[in-house]
Amino acid sequence: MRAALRERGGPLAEPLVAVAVALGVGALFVLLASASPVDAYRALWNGSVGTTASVAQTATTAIPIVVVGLGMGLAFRVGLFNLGGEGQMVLGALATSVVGHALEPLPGVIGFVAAVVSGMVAGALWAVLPGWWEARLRVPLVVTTLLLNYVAALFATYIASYPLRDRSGGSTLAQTAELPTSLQLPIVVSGTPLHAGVFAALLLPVAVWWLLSRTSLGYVMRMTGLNRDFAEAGGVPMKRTIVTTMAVSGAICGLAGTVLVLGQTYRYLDGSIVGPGIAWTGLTAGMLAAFNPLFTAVAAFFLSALQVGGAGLQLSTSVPLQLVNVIQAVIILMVAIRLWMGRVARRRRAVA
Amino acid sequence: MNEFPGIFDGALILSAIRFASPILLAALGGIFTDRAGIFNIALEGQMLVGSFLGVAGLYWTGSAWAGLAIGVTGATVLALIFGLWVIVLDADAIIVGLAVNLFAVGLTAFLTLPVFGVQGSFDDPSLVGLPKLLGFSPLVYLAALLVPATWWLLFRHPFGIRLRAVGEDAEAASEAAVDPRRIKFAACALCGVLCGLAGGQLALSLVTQWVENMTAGRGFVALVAIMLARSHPVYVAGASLLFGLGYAMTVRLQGIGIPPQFVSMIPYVLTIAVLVLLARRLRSRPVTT
Repeated sequence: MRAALRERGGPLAEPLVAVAVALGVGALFVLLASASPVDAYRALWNGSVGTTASVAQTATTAIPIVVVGLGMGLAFRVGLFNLGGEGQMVLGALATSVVGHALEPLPGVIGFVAAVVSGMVAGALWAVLPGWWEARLRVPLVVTTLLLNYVAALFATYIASYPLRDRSGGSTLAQTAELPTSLQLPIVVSGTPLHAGVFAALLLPVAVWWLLSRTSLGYVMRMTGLNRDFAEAGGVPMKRTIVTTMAVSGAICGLAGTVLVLGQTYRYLDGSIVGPGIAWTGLTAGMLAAFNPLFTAVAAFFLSALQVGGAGLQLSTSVPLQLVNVIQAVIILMVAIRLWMGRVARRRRAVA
Repeated sequence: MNEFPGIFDGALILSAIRFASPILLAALGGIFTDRAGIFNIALEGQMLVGSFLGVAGLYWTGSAWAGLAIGVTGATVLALIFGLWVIVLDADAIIVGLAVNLFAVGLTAFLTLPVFGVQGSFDDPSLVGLPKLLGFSPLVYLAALLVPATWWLLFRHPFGIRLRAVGEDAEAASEAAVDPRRIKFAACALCGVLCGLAGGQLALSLVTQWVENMTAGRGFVALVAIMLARSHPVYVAGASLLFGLGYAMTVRLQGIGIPPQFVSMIPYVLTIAVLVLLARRLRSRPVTT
């Protein structure tokens, strides 16, 4: 039955079915909160794409979601369950904030490049560690990456609460000092929060696509993702591939934190990444797109609309914002069936 | 470092046993799915639902035992959904486990407002948690009794022999007239019950309150305990005690000048460190798949 559905619908049918089922389950939860699903989804729509301002807000929110989704998705594509995108993103954001602030006296371009590079390096290092453990010691990185999220978040909270806390504005929030304006990404559409980071969100999917489909490293990555043992038997240096993939994946996740800081928060603001669950939304986008980099951007915009609309939903109805997290989890559950079918087809091909 | 001699004492050991109990209960549950050949990262989400519904049930009925029963039921339902996806729909266990965990976080955070009328966390002096027998919740004794019981079930009872046969070679087991699906579902259900108890012990005894995402990685710590113990209940108890000691240290080291964030890191760093240092003990099976 599933195979028949697959053949009839084409590649778009499955994600659309997943989204439809998830929105249906979401409607049940709206009823549970004793509100009208029609009103709730109308509020969600109006709050996310109903006006020009809300579209700009949705696009802005989508920027870090796209980037972190590409980063985590790249590792998943290679068969490495990097659940550490959140921690890698947190450390990327922290490194960018700290380095950007420390290099304030230097010319803007040097400071900017250093801030971006430091964010990517921080994310990469935090991902290479569990990658190396998996490659050398066979410690499953699905567990270590997840536990490292907590370590990274606690460390960043410490830095923003004590040594580098910004006490200038009398703010009660744990945050570092504001970056100089020379480092802040310019606003692209005036009157909206949409900043130049949107170009990163548009170009990076193409770059990841190019990496995967046009380079020899990408070929090795895809072969490893299809069948690790087969790739290794075919001469792929597995340990190096695992560590390299995690480095690239972590660097992109770190960049997501960098873009968030340079374009939106202008500082490390505690809870700005973990609170809204940006990394998990990014991973959901990647899964919805079957880890295709170009579709990931589209899926991220859709999920961003849910997030932005969810905030409006909470204001205008009695439905809590977390409705969108339930919807996202159901999307993953639906997509999980599809992902498996791809794997089995590949496994059968590998055996044959 | 001078504080350390004064830090290890009897009270710390008792505290470690208390903190170990939810880890041990979840890990004993995870043994069943692990032995059935399922890499189950959904322990975390099942515990969280057990905690949430435990406190919700206590709030609704006024009885911690009724709350525990409701929490165990909810966790078991979630475990059976996990089983349905992994066993019947043949979806990837890690992806489904991830979805279950995110679903549990979203569901409980969503329901916090309609159920308790507040957001984030719920704490009320009228909430009375599980009773204490000689300083420990009855669930601590239950967890201790379940260690030999699990051993017996796994290694002496026909169910355990079938379970291990299914986990090692499902095809051979089914040729021997064992239905692998039924065995795997039973393993998922047992796991759900035990994770529900773990969540109840966390939210109805260690503390008596609901805090969003309060399991905070404990399900993964339990998973590490299973891996280190190679799914053996007695060694799982030892690993859980070690990790319980890590959690006990976070309480003991508060207010002596160490930044609270570093104190809170101890359980995570300890778990990762033990996993990496004892990596050779892990069986050489395909790891992330």
